[in-house]
Amino acid sequence: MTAMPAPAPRPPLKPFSRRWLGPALISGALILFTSALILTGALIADFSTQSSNVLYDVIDAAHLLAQLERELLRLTARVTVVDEQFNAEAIALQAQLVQSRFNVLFAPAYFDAFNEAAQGQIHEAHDIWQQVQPVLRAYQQSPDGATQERVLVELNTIGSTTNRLRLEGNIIVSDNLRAVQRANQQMVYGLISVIVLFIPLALGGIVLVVRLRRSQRETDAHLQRALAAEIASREASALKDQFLATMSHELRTPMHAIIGLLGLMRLDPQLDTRQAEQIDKIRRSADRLLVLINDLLDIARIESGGVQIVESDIAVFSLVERWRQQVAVLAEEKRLNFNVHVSPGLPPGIHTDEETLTRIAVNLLSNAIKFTDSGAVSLSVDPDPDPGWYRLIVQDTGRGIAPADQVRIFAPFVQGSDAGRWTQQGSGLGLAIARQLAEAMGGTIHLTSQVGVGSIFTVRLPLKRVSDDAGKLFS
Amino acid sequence: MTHGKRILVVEDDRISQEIVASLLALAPAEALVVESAEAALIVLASQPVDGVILDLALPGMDGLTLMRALRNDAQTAALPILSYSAYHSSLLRQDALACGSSGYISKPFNEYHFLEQVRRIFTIV
Repeated sequence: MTAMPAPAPRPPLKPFSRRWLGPALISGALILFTSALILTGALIADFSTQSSNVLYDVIDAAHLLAQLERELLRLTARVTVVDEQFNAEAIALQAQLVQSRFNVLFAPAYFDAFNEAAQGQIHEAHDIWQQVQPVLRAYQQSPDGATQERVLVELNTIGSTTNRLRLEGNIIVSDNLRAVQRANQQMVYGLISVIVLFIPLALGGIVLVVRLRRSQRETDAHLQRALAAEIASREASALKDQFLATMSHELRTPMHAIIGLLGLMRLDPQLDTRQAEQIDKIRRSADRLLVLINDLLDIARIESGGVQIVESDIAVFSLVERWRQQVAVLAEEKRLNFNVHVSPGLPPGIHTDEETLTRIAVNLLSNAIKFTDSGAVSLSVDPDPDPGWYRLIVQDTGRGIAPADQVRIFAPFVQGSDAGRWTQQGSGLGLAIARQLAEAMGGTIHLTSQVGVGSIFTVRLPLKRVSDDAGKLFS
Repeated sequence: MTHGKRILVVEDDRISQEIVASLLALAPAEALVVESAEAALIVLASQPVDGVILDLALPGMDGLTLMRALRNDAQTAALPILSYSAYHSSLLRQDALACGSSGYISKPFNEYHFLEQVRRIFTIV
């Protein structure tokens, strides 16, 4: 048995891999987020250290001023006390404390914290202090009212200066505090914004990655399924083709025995008339059965998409003559006139699929004869007005096809609805096959019909004429 | 039929052998029947024939392979070959013609059509 060639399986598609895309995206997002956090944190820490240092210096300076002021007030109190409580030693001690406060204030670590104007005022206050000290010492020696008065005035002047400086320092401190608070607040807001900004970004990234991975998995699964389905369908299709091929051989081989032997018997000149008629009847039944088998094989092959158009050079006139021989018997049986007309305008040789064209013509003619009870069936083969196109026209005087049925009769297993279901002959496949084969050859079938008058099936096909040299072989 | 052409019939099916041989007698031609491609090669090596009628579906070596072998052998390269098959396939017809078959018909065949092909291919008048 010859094996029908099975189509070579296509190599499986390689599913593309994006396995590293997800982790890479997640890592990238994490690194970006962490860097942003660290950067923001460092900025805040730096700024708040700077502001705090400035602030602490100011606070220290203010504190020193306050201490100086307190000592000045104590000194004032000592100087103010008169008579029995006058204590020159206490005044001297207190003066030393004031001097030491001034000395601390002039230490560069603290003094630099003041601005130039404040430093000038401190110097001014110190100058006054320098001037007041001899007066103070004189007062310790001989406390009189005039000297006391003078010391008190000078101390008051120094006190008001330090007092003013301290107040200014407080304002500076509170301003700085507010600035630091504001800055801290802004930084916190900044941090919150960064976090708030990054959370959706990070979430979005995660969602994106998850969806990417899922869609990748789905795509992969889909590819795998499609691949499996493709392979299964190819295998099924190959199996089906193989089965159809085997079935065609196994059904047609016994049909060949029946038809061939009947043919031989019929050629025997010693047959009597009755035997000859009986053989003819068997032969016609066998022919009909063969047509049905071929129809079923054809429709199965068409349904599985296996129509193959195989073209070769064909002699038109002898081809049409074979059609006539094949169909004339059927027409004779029903006592129908059967006319064949081949236009002299046809080329003698055409390049086409002989078997497929024969199936179309014989199916249409058999169909016409089947549904015509009296009158005539005719076949004409003409060139179409379109160059390169040809027409097969099958006309009958049959029962006709109602407009509602004119489309559906080209579907498999469908016959016209007007006739009784059980009075029909045949499979209802002929027209479906003719249409599908005509379309497979690049052509069309057109039907015009009138109930009670008859039908005209027109097949239009593009056929290549054999070149003139080759054509001579056929003329 | 000593005056007729000798045609080698390569066919494994007994009934087909009978039908083909009987139709060849009507052609008229002499039928020499073998059941396989291998047997056909042995016969062809020893006896001259005027043509071959070849079933493409054979046990063992198939008809297409035999046809290629015959076409590649100078002695049989020009031998007229009529091939046939019960496969309902346009593709097989194409393969047969591509392998060098002089003609192809599908089985079951109309006896008149078969005789017409036989007479044309083996030039029996």
